[in-house]
Amino acid sequence: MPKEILISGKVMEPRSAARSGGSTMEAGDSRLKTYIEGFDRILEGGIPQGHTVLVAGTPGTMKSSITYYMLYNHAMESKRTSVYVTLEQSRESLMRQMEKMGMNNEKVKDQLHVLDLGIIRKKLKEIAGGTSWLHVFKTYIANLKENLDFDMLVIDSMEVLETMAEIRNRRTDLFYFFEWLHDLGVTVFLISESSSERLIDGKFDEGYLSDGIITLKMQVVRDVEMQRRIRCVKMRETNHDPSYFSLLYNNGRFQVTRVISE
Amino acid sequence: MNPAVTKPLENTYSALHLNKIKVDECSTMRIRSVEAIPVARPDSTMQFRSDSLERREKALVEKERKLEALAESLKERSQKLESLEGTKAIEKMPERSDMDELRQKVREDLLRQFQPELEALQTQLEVKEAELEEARLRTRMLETGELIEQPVDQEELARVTEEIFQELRSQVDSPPMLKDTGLIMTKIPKLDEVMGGGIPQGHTILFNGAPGTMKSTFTYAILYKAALNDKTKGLYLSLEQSRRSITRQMEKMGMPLAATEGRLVVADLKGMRESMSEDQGTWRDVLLHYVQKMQRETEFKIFVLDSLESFKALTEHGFNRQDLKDLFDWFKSLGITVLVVSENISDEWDEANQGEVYLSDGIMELLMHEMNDSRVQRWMRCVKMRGMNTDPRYYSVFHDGKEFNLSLPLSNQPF
Repeated sequence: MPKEILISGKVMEPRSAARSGGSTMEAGDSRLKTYIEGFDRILEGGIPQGHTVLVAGTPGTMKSSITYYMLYNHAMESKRTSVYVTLEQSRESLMRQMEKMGMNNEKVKDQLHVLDLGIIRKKLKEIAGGTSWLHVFKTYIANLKENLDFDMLVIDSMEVLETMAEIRNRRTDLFYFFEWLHDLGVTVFLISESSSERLIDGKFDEGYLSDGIITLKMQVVRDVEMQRRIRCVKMRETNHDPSYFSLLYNNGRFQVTRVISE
Repeated sequence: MNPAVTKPLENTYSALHLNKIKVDECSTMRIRSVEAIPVARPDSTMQFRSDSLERREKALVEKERKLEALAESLKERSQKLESLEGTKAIEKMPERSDMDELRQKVREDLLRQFQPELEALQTQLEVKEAELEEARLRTRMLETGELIEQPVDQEELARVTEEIFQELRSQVDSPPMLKDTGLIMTKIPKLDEVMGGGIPQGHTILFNGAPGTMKSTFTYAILYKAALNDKTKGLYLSLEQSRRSITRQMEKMGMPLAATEGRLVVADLKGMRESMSEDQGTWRDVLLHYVQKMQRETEFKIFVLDSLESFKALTEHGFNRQDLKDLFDWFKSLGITVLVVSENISDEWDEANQGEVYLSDGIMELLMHEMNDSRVQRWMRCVKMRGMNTDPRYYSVFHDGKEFNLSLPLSNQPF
């Protein structure tokens, strides 16, 4: 049996040079802005490059939108290249959703690549199982890194990836997967469907494995009002404010404000 | 001893994060716990494997013993033969060369007689030994925590991988053409505003709620209004109620089916079965064929499936998230807007969901809200609507016998 199809075998050798960052990185610019007004200040300027960050929340909390928004703004402002991998939602649906939120995909088509990797399962379904899926996935992303030299990678979502890769031994398999992500040398956003409470309870290994956790939720205020909340639970190498903030979306900009009253 | 062992590990770790201001206690613990991952996983599978290995080893030892006994009996026979030949030699005193010839002949006879059996045993032994070696290898791999997959056809895998890469390459090169789809206006007062303008065409929307929250009436009302106002055709398929019971119920709510002039079709399991009597296959296949057939015939634009739980129950095998993804993709391929009635209430999302809340393009949540000891109101909320700027607040829902009315609830005021 060839070694490389084993889930725990590393498919790609770590490239020592890769950790230093992508081509568009400037000296001293070691943090990636979130472009959410007020939130970068909370993160001491942004997310440290090379971090693997979980973006977690229940349905409708704008996990995808906020992550796409970051990539979009980086493409617009600094021509940074990024890849958004969707495993379940079709790319047409995702991109249309972002258009409706006021982001013009046409303007960033050379920097922001949305890829529907759901096709891997469709094609592999007949002949191979989960470990082959993960192998093909990793090989493709590694190739893409060579060709596009992207700085940021989004995987939407972690839960679907686990189902498709048929991850059984979560503890070790996730450890190797995070190590592989780390070796890619890019900043990674993993979209997670776990609610923040469950992540913080420590039931999930990815909470420990990731360098940062940003959670999103809806909060009932005064019994009838609903407000969006954002919170940076964890961010390594950063002295961040761990409080909840109100998340607002107006005229194409995300913005946070301190929660005034409960 | 112990602190001396763990200390350097921690030191290395903090050395790597010199600029780290707040040492994250969890992460240090994590590093240690990763180091502590046990390599051997003694579990029932392992026990089973070692048992079967022991059984095989015993069988092999038994075979070996039989072989030895066989060799022993061969030796005995040839000794007997020799002594027999000796007596013969005394009796007849044949020529020395004759005796040699005879001995040779007997030996050859014996050999011929036992050769096939010997060879067969030899091959069996070799096969068993190879099996044993393979089993040992597997046990070792299991012990070290490596997974064993069914062997995959490598050539086929390489071919498919190349196909996948090719298709993905075209994805990188060409962004999709985004057609601007229109909106379906529900014309239910306030509802369109709450959803950010209406339901985007082609979306699959979940209507979640406990029993009695008027999920069916709500989705029916959307179909009914669209048929009346925009002359949009619709199909309402109930796997729970009979067609008669639904139409009677809706007539009482001021929505007589006749008023839609055939633009709205209500179907139930019985009607579906009659219409598809020719069709073979599982319930699920029949249902999907039926929807397809109806779409060809009536060209409906909105489809209500009532309910998702009943649909899942119709499938014989377990219904997992990937099956659901296939179903939702299939809806997309038909180009219709789908309203799915579901009783999966939001408290259970984390525990029991099969992904419908993530796979769907939108979620409307319906619930009963207890205002105080005696008053209960129906509430509604738009949890999610992809690409729409929704109003996420709770609204109370009233039905005045003719129409739905949505209004912001008066919060917690004493009555």
